[in-house]
Amino acid sequence: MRGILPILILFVFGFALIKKRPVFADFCDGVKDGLRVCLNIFPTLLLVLTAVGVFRSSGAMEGLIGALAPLCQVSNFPTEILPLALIRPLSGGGALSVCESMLKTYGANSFVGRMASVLSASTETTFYTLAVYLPKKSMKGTGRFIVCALLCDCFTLFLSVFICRLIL
Amino acid sequence: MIRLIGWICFLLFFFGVLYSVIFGTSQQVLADFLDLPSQSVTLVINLTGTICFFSGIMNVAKQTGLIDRFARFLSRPLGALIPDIRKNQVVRSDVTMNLASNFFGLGNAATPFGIRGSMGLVKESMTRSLATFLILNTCSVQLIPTTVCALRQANGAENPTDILPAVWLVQVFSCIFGILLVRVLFREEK
Repeated sequence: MRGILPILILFVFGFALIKKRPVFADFCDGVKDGLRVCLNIFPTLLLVLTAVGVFRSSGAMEGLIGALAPLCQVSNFPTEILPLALIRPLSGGGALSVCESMLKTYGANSFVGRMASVLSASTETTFYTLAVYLPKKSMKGTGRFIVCALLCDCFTLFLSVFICRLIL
Repeated sequence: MIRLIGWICFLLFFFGVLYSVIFGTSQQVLADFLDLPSQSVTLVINLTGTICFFSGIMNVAKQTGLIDRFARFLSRPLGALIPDIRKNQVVRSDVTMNLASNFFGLGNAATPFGIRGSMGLVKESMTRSLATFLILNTCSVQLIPTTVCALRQANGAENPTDILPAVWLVQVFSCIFGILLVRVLFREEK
């Protein structure tokens, strides 16, 4: 897995040079685009990171996880991941903050840390996507579709836990 | 949705402060209020480098036509999944370009294609084609989740990309699940 990123980078650069593209100019344009992305996620990141941090350090997070523990023990489900699963469909920047806070608390190499990374990487900000893409807001069947998308998110949550237990 | 995030943050603050008053952790909470906002600046600055670098690489790939090639490669299997795109060349190109851009992590480039694609697929009510297209967008399909990898790197992961096989497996199966769910819930148009 260590090789995949360098290979991809070399391939893209090499291919572009063979095709005689102005690689440097294209790259710089992309970087400017990336800066805009970072600027856009910053406000959410700041707010949610602070909110989650306060929630965690006050002990309320442990309280919540403790309250949910019996439910999760029955289903053999890791409670630590629930906060991330709840915010993931709502806000991309928010999920990033929760993931960061989890990586910091449990460690990036821990099982919980890896699971959080997998879940963050394999689900999308469902509500945001729907808000942007749904063409007619009052279309028949929209409600049914939202249920469908959320069911799919739930499935992804259980699947992430299952697959992480299996191969990580 | 934006209001919901506001409420969630308020509730987090509210219970955080309430808990700290009851359990005497207010010292820590005050420290967090003063410290975490500046930590989030550090986090964004750490991530900015990686996000910008890959955004640059992917823009090179886009301008060279690699994404177009991949989109053309996708158009046949997608035609089987989303039959409506076979009828219209423009819609087909929008839909395939949207999914191809997302696959390579070009979220910004994908959005305009996605909006035009879903507008092209829209009818009186939600059709199976539109629902399939949207579910492929809400199940993230991304080859290399660079932001998460950067986050792992910043937090001292031994190998930030070791999660990739798991991520790919989860993505594939959740897409299959989403597509099947749409098949069950939305009937095909005549």
